[in-house]
Amino acid sequence: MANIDFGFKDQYVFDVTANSQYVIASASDQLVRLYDANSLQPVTSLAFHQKRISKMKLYNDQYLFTASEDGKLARWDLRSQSTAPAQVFQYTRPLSAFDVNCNDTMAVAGTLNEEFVQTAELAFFDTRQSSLLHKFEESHGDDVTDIQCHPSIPSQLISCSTDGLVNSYDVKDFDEDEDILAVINSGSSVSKAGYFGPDANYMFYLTHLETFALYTLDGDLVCDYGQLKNIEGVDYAIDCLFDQTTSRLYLATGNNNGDVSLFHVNINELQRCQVLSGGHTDVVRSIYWNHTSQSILTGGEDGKMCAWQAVQ
Amino acid sequence: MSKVNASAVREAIAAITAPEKKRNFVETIELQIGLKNYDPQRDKRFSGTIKLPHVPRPNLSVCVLGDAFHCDQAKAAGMEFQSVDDLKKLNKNKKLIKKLAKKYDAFLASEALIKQIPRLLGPGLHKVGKFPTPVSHAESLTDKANEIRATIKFQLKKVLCLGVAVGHVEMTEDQLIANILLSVNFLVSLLKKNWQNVKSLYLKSTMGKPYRLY
Repeated sequence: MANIDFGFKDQYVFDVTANSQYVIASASDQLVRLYDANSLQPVTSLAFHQKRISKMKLYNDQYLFTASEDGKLARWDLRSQSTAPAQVFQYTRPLSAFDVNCNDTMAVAGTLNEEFVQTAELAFFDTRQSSLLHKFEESHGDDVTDIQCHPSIPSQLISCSTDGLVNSYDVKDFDEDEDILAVINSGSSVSKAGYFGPDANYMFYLTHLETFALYTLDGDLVCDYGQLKNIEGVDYAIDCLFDQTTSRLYLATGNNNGDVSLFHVNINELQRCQVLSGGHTDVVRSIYWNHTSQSILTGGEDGKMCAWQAVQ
Repeated sequence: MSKVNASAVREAIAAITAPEKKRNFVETIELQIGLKNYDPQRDKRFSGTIKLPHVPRPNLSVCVLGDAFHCDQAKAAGMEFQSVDDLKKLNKNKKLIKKLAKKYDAFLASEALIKQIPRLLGPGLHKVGKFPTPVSHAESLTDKANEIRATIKFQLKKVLCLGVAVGHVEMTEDQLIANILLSVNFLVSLLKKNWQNVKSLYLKSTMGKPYRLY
């Protein structure tokens, strides 16, 4: 396990990811930091967003995206030497979630629900032109917390919100009245949702109350794992990750001491397969798992990013 | 409530429920939690729902969107309901759907029907936070409706204060204590530093002044 200490003791690491050249982290000081993937030495910082970076995702080996409450979604070209974004999508509301579709033709961003507006929006952008294609204003009644585009169908996506709903859509024609395929009401407040399965026929969701459930895309319950805090050594979920090559689903969890527990997600059973301890000393906020190299990165509220080797 | 003085709670309840000015509505009693050592800009979201042992908002109107089985059950129980045909008749007319959404505080939908809701009603119930809760044939409609009435949402936004409805002025002291106890313990257990994240606890009725519990 290697430990990259930012030296910014007061900052939180929010999201972590990596491509072939860099290990990358977004932090609560609005900076995205790039480190050399081999030496773990700092290379550069990307300063652009003026407000909280709500999400950072790696799209492919070349492109990184960041979305912020400053209303901007930025595309970064990791192969260029520039520290400025290659493309910016500007929106009028703070962005809290986003994703880019499988053929890089559309970016979808979700907003916060603000008191004076009383609605959360989904904004659809044309990535070839940086222009706004459409927006949905009725699908969620509160902050959009996660968006995931379908792995192979460019017009399909899932969104979830603190309103408790997980919606799946097909937006071929951008008709909000007709495009919602299914809705799952978690009865709570959803923090993450996404597709999984070899054909992406299933979805998972995680709530802010630390419950976890799996459903078919049609909306039928597959398994409700209930309260994750009932598991020994677990205080919260970090993320749910699907390994396409082995078709295995994993749940990454953490505790307030910074220990990470990884579980195989089986029907009616969560099987602990690895514990990552001795790295973090506070809440772990994100995990990146490269199943090919079996390397894992984690980032947390202790201002650290840790690199680990997965056991197989 | 490890840190809260039981007598302080009883005193607060007594003061709040003591008949003072006669109101023409039943005042809700709210628990106000002031937080500290928590940064809404950085810390994880504090958001979700709690189901209380005693219904804090008994007047919440619930409508059943039912299959044949549930429509019969609803009729027998004196509950308002809409059948699949009733919903189909709305013809996805936005004005009519909005009217339906406004008429009731919450909806239950038969498990068999809930997958049809997006096709029947579009997103009409989403924005107002009234997407139905599923109910199976094995469950009692009245119990499920009361479950909804007993469930309250909470979410911390930018300010370090959270208000949670824990009851109303016509509940008994024991009922209020049960609700307050559960709410406090549950919410504190969700905070990373538990009681170290709590600055203050107040109890207040809609029109009344706040009474400090912690």
